[in-house]
Amino acid sequence: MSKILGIDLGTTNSAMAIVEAGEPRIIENKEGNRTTPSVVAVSKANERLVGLLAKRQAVTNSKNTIYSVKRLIGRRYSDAEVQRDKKLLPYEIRESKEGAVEIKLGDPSTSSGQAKWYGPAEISAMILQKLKQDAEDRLGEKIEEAVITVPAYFNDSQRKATKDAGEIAGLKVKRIINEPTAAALAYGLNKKKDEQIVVFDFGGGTFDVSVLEVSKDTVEVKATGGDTHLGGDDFDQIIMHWLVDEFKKQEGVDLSKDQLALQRLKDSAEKAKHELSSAMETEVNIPFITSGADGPRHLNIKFSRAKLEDLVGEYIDKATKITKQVVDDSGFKMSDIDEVVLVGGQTRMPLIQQKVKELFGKEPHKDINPDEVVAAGAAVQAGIFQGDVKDVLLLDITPLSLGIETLGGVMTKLVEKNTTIPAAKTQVFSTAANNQPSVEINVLQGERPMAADNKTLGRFILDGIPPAPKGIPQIEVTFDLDANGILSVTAKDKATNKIQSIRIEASSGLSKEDIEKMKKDAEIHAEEDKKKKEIVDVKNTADTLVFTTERTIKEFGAKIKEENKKEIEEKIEALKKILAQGESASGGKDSYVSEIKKASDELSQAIQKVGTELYKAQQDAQKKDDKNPDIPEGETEKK
Amino acid sequence: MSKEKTEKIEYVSEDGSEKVEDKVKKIKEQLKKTEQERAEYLAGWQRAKADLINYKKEQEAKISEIFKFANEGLIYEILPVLDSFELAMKHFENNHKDAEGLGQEEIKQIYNQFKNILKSSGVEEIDAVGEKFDPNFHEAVGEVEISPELGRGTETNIIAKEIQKGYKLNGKVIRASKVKISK
Repeated sequence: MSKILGIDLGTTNSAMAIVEAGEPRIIENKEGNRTTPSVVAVSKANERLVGLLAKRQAVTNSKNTIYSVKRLIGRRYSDAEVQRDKKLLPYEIRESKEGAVEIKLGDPSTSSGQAKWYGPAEISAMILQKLKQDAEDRLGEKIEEAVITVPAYFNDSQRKATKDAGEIAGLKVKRIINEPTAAALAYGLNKKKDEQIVVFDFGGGTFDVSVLEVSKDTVEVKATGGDTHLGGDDFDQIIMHWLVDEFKKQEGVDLSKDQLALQRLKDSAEKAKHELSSAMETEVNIPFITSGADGPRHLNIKFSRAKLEDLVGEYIDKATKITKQVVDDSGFKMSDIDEVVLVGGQTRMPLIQQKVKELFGKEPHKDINPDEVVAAGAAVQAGIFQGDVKDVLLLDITPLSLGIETLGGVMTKLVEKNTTIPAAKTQVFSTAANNQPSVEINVLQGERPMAADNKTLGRFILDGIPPAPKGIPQIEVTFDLDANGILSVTAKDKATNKIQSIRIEASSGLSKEDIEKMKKDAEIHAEEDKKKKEIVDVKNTADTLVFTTERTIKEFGAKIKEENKKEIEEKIEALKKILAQGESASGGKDSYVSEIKKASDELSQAIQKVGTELYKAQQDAQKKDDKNPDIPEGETEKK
Repeated sequence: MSKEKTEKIEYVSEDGSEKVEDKVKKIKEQLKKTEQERAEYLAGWQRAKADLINYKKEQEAKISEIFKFANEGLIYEILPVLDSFELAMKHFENNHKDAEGLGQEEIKQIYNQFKNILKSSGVEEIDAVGEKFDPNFHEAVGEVEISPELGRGTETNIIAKEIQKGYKLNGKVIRASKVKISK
């Protein structure tokens, strides 16, 4: 079943996304970019270009490079908006027979690039065609259907024309959805019932603000407004003008006539604007910006965030005013608004985020890349159509870690929190004492390192373990969680194949509040829990060392020199004594741990000495047996 | 948590209250439905497994892409420094050609040192002047009369002047050349 493409067909830039593993993912175009300029051209070489390539030759081919066609789609030629844009657009437009708009563009199918008149839908279709092709190339499968977004203020004619553009591009348009609605979908806000949402969209060229109401089955646009010629590009222009003025003051040179200088200035202005979103001050540094009569000039101007905010303050005030008006139009009060969503690159500016927070008294949603959130939302809608979110396939996660209690009262995790279920994890454990006949499995849920601080979900015993030294038996413990969150814990003795298990229902776990509390507790107690666990780990290691050392002495006692044996036994006694005396006698956790470590090290060194000698003796014995005259005789120890 | 609805399978009743034919019919329908469901689930399972395998492959390819172009961001940010060096050298060339001791040689050496490092990282200059304009590599910022020295006569769409150098990284264009093309 082929994927449905979610498309944000923007005025200046477009983006596309699909749902993958339940989440929207932006698809890169052929050039490797996540957004595609909404530009179409027929080059001087009579080739049709779409996207970045078309943009790259816009300056020298302005009559045949079509951009911002979204401003014309579905409109009548006589619309005030069209007449106003006609003055600004360098390409030719005229009224069609039906009173709509027609755009002149060279036709590459004719050898001389004879001009042809296209409807805006046909031009948009060329952009959609590129997006479709690039997506198919990336995904390696055919795309036949799409969800396309439009501004909330688009009328029926504009929506139909956008749908037509899709059809011309070979896409069956499953739905045309509003851009603010898509943004809300991307954040999952459509699942909130009876809430009012404001979408604040400050892009490169346009500003739009909408009030949405989410009810049981629908997301309704209650009011919308904005300014179709207010955006981040205006900010760049104002910064540029300021830099030109500053340079004039400093150096007495007017850069506004120098095309190349202006180009470098524009790039630097945009870069500085971005930097001031994270830094309080930046430096615009352009060496050799121009040549004066008495030599080269260099531009080096300090630019603070305060200055930037001062320069663009008027634009932001305008946006604030419009926002208040739109909320008023919707019939709601500012305090009625439950959620705010930020869309568009310019919303990355701290001052804008601050103003929005002040207006609505709450933190806006801004985690999703503001340039991509609308495309992501279109993909979410596409995913819903695709049935990607079939109920039975809505997988859950375990909110808290699961494990068992092990030696020293420690919790050993088998399933980490946030694991997607169904899942199964197995680990092999052993006994803690010699000839231990049974193990008790204490099934725990929680994040703290010590078992007693977590919740016990259930316990059971596996017995009939054949007598063996501690650490030898192999008990395989398996945690199995099914899609409904029912946990089965099984313990199997690998020697006897005896099995014992327990089944725990999801409901015997904790409520949402309890879960949050447990996570918080783990954070709060992290330091002291760490110390507690360290003591247990160090003790366990020391115990094992004592055990293996005693065993070694027992087995190889005869082969060990008397003085070494005595030293080892002394060290064993010393370590045992410290282990037995406890924390308080040692003067606290830290000193207890260091004392154990010290005594363990001393014992380790003592036994290692003996170990090397034992191995050497073993090698010598082997050589003597071989009786090969070519091998030089090693040193033998005289006992 | 959502629960799957499972249909209970009815068995033939022993008290003979229902006609056996009807019971058999019901069971046959049930069986058909169950078989369909089973096929659907198997297909879904296979698809999920295939999706995971394909995702792994995609990730591996993506990771090697990332390694190849890991430096792209940094190199792109550094290119203006290269530009400044070239402007400085051009300034010396144009205005102080015969002077000495102004640091021209030193600047040239540092520039070469810098350029060599970038070269060994896979950075290449994009050819501009004299080449046919190609938006894959060039960005046109203006038009100008073509210089007769280039010997391209009245050919149009030829790059007449380079305003800012363009660069490729491992074959990928990271900054297009800004050029002026012939009128």
